[in-house]
Amino acid sequence: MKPYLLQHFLENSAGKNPDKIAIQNGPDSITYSMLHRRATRLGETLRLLAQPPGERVGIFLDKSIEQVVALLGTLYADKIFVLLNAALHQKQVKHIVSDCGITTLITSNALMASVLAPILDDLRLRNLVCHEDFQNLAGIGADGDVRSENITDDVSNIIYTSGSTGVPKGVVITHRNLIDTAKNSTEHLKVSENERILCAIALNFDYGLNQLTSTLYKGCTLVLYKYLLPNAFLATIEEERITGLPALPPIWASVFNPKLARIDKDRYDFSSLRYIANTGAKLPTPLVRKVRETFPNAELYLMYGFTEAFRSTFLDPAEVDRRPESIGKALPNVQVEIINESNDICKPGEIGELIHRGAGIARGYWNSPDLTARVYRSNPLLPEGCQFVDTVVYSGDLAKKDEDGFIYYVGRKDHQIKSSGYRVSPTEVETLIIECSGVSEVVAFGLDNPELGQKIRAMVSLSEDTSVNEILNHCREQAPYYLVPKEIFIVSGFPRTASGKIDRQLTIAQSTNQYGL
Amino acid sequence: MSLTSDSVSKYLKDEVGLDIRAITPDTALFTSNLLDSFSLVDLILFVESETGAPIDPDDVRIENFDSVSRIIRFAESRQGSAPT
Repeated sequence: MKPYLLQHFLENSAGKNPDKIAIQNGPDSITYSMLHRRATRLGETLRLLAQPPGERVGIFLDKSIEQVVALLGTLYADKIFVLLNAALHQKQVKHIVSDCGITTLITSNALMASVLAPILDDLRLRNLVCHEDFQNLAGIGADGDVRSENITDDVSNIIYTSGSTGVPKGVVITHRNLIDTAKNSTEHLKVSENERILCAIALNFDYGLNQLTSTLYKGCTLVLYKYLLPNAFLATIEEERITGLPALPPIWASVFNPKLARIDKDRYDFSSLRYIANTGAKLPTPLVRKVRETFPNAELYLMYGFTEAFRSTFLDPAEVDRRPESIGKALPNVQVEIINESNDICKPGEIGELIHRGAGIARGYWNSPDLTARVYRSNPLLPEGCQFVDTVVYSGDLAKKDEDGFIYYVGRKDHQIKSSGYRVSPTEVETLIIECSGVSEVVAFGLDNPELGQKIRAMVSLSEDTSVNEILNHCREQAPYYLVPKEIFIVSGFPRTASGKIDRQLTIAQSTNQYGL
Repeated sequence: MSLTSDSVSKYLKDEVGLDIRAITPDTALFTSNLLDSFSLVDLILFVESETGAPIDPDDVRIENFDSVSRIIRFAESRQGSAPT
């Protein structure tokens, strides 16, 4: 039967290659056997500390070995892990802890001091554990076999991501999802136990977490990496003999910015690199060409997906030079269709909404049955009366197919912004800005941008005297960098619809006319 | 023209919108997630225009740009090594 829980991957790999390095983070590393030992001991401790099973355990840590131990330990306690990006500020941490009902939080002394200390009362936690105390705590639990009561359809984790409106929502993931998507990814990327994967993506992203699950499944090595600047990144690929490189478009935009890095021919030895996978947003064609020129021996996989269904499509590397604009075709064990308003499959060239069925479909949104019902629906392509037997996910993305069945991303159906690889809801940015004193009304939206995918612009009207800098200061204090607008313009008022609401479309059109794109 | 702690702080306040009251000369700017690499391109252009010399991409390393004091030290070291 095994593997049917994510931790079974770890047990299999620890059994086969106990002394192999599982995770490396700068100068630190941990073998499979030690990772198994530390995770099971923490699991036993969490089992005693926090009741009942199914409790959500928040993990507010930088990408690190401790973060990996914490999430696996949570699973060993039959609990659900919720990773909070270490870039989050107090406001976002409070939202996730409250929305998800987190009662146990694992963090570090540093994040405790810089972020959590002033809001601890509001968080109403039952248990707060700093990873520095893992060693002491682990003595509480037994050291040995851990018997899990969970089954494969139990919830393993919840991933917070933004939609088109409001605050971030938790996407509910099961062990089956994690197992299916690890098998799926490693199959089409042909990942072997010899891989050394550079994980520059945060683990609270689905694709970042997938690097860990794929690594545990194949028994290869994951090199954790915090991306800051291209020179160090390129040197790391060479020095660490990286073979697999998943990355987001903003990384490539900065790598190929001539102000930030010089990539002369023969300067680096990238011969170890076997594949590169792009995800997070469409990689602009000029960047596709540069990646191909710079890493001619690496296969480039252009992926498309969204957290609610993990990944949906990829472009066969053999097609990249011919169709760099395409997001390819459905992954193995996945079906993707583009349907029109009448729920019929679109003809080639006709634009419609992309829907996904098959492996990777999450359970829905935590605490949001209405939203879940809008996104996770009965399969409209089955005969009436039978549609309920199959669930498909409506992506909210507009796409079209060509005559050969290759799919092309066209845009969003709604106003969701994709910036720096993060999904951002305009409402979240607007709520942030409206809380700044002196601001009367605001409209936030995304504009296409080669570095960020989209940049956030906000048009703001004022009730009292304040400045763009005051508003920016407020945003930076209250929110992580990816929610902070790149541009803010003050306007005297907004165009209105007949009902008196702000006319968003006209506001955006006026803004781009006056201030450009 | 030379770069000073005040001029860098003024740039971070006026152009980037950072609350400089909360920033000491040694506050980490990039490793602390205060700024992203998108902001770095503009910061480089600013340092270049203030010092009148282009920055070699090989010098774009986190140890040269992660705080106001590091930026000043880096700018000074370049002036020291420039041909006279």
